[in-house]
Amino acid sequence: MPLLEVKELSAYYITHVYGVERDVKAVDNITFSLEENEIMGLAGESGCGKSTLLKVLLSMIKPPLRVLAGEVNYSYDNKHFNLLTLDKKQLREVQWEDISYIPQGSMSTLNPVRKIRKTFEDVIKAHKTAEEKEEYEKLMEEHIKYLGLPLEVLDSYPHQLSGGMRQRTTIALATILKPKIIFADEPTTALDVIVQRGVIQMLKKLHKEQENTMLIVTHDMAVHANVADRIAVMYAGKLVEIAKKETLFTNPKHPYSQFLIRSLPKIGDKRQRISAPGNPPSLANPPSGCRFHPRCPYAKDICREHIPKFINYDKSHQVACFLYSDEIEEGEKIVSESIRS
Amino acid sequence: MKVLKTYIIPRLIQYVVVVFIGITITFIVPRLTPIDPVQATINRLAAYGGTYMEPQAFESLQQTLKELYGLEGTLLEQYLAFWKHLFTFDLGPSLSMFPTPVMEIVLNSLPWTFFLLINTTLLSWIIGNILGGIAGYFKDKKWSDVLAVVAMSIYPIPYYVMALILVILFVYVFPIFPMMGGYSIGIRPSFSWSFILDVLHHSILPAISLIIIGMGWWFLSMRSMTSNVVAEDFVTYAEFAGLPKGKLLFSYVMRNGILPQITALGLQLGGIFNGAVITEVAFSYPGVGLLLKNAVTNGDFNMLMGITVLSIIAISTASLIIDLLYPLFDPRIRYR
Repeated sequence: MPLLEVKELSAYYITHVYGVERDVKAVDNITFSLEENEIMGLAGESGCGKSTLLKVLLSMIKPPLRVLAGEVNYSYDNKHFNLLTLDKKQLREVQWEDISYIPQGSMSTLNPVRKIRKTFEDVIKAHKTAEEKEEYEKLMEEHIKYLGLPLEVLDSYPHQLSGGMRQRTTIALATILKPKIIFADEPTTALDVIVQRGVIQMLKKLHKEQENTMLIVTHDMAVHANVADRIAVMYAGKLVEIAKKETLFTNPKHPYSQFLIRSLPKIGDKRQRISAPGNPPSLANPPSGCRFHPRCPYAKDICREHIPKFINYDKSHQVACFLYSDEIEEGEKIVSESIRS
Repeated sequence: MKVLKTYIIPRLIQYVVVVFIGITITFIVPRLTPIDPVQATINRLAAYGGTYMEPQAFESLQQTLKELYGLEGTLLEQYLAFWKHLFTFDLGPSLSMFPTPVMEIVLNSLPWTFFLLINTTLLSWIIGNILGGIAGYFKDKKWSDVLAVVAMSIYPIPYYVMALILVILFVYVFPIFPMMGGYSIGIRPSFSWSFILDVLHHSILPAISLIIIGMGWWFLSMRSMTSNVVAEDFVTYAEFAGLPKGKLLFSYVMRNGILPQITALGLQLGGIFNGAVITEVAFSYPGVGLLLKNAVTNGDFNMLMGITVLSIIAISTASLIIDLLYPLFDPRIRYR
């Protein structure tokens, strides 16, 4: 059984302004699974719904975001549950302890007027009860040391740390309870390459020693090449391709993935890079049929009318494109009623 | 000490400069008016008496008045004399209660004003901020909106209207509270229970009026401050971490929202020195505000100057203290 299984998940931002309803289809009918001890990279351009997908997988759902359909099933340590059906108390038991999160833009994820040590204490106290203070201290200091951070970090305020240090502190905070699965949202964005390397090595070390599963979201293909086992490509709220890292880099199937890979610089190759023509679509009013068709050089009539099904191209390679199969996604999945209010 | 050099000393210098400039302006402004106070007084005397004055007596009267007003000699000499008097805490005699020194009268009124205003300012600050913080944190709840509407409708009521309504309600319609003064006529000020109770009884109505109006403002500003902080990443992240609601509200949300409120409190505490003029007039409360109003209506030049100078010093001192204490509340300031 996979550790995380996402089934036909749809989550929209639904807003009513002066009686006008506006839906932003940020996550639309997404299905995939994550095996234990696997690192998956989630790639896609800005505004394609990557962060929204993470929020739903973590059950950090606040209006106007609403989950309209689908399941998010976790199974580990003889526990099996659909995260979206848990109540608040049950959520508190799994969030952070088992399912943790490294947020985007760690510049503002730490309370500016609280010492890092206090923030760590707050988090530990929220999950571990009836333990001595010294035990927290020990746990904290060991974890900090283990991740190669100086102990002075604990007695600093966030503004006294550099951006990279803050990001690594956030990672330490997110992993202090040894979670089963970690979702990292753009962990290396806005850092210079040296610090990026430090952050990636830290994530790899955690993965190796805590044996956890990771889903790393970033638009930086170089990061994916470094850490991921498999890469999922997202475009305009839908998954378009999932493949092993090597396969995706050498033999991408979906035209969007092809553009993505072809746009990467290669040593010794001085030809001009080709990028996908046009601009990313608005998720409030996405194109009919395949959402990539207005920018796709291979677009056929069927692409304009129908949505391609996310099919198994081979055993470990899935793609949603009419170039490889004529299967149509079941109906225009009308998800009018919500399963959660 | 790096902190002393980079933080404290520049602020002390700034403080001295501000006080110096403020007092200099207080010195200059009255001298720019086209009215010659000496001549005006002589004219008034002449109008009352209407008798002919000998040139010699006129001369000496003019001299005495000039001395009284501090208008002897050249502008520079006047200015230096002004400072000399200030350093000996001599603000001259009051003109309407001649010859009692201004300093003595002000010092008599100060305890009344301080008692009323420090308590009401602190109370309205504390209650307003706590309510505002909670209402801002739960801004999606119905009751938060209800509270905001109540505060929004109280806050803009002109203060004198509020004071009058309270006086009419609780003095005439329901005669619970006395109408006038700081204590009952006929009672001698002393440290006895009956006197203290009498003072409290007299101060409740002015205090309530001040707290209601003050609280509305603190509530509204704190509510908007916290509702911004709630949307910050570190709050969302702490929520995900499963922190208890109370810790989230106080240590994460309100702790960050309160920072600008502390500055505002400091300035308001400094402003106490002026007294709450309208309150003290409306309730005939014997504080500095009433003194100021009487000085204006009686043309008590020295008293006005005295209160202005003292309030310049008080407000600057209050903001200096807040400035020096601020690093305790905001660690980002501490090491800069």
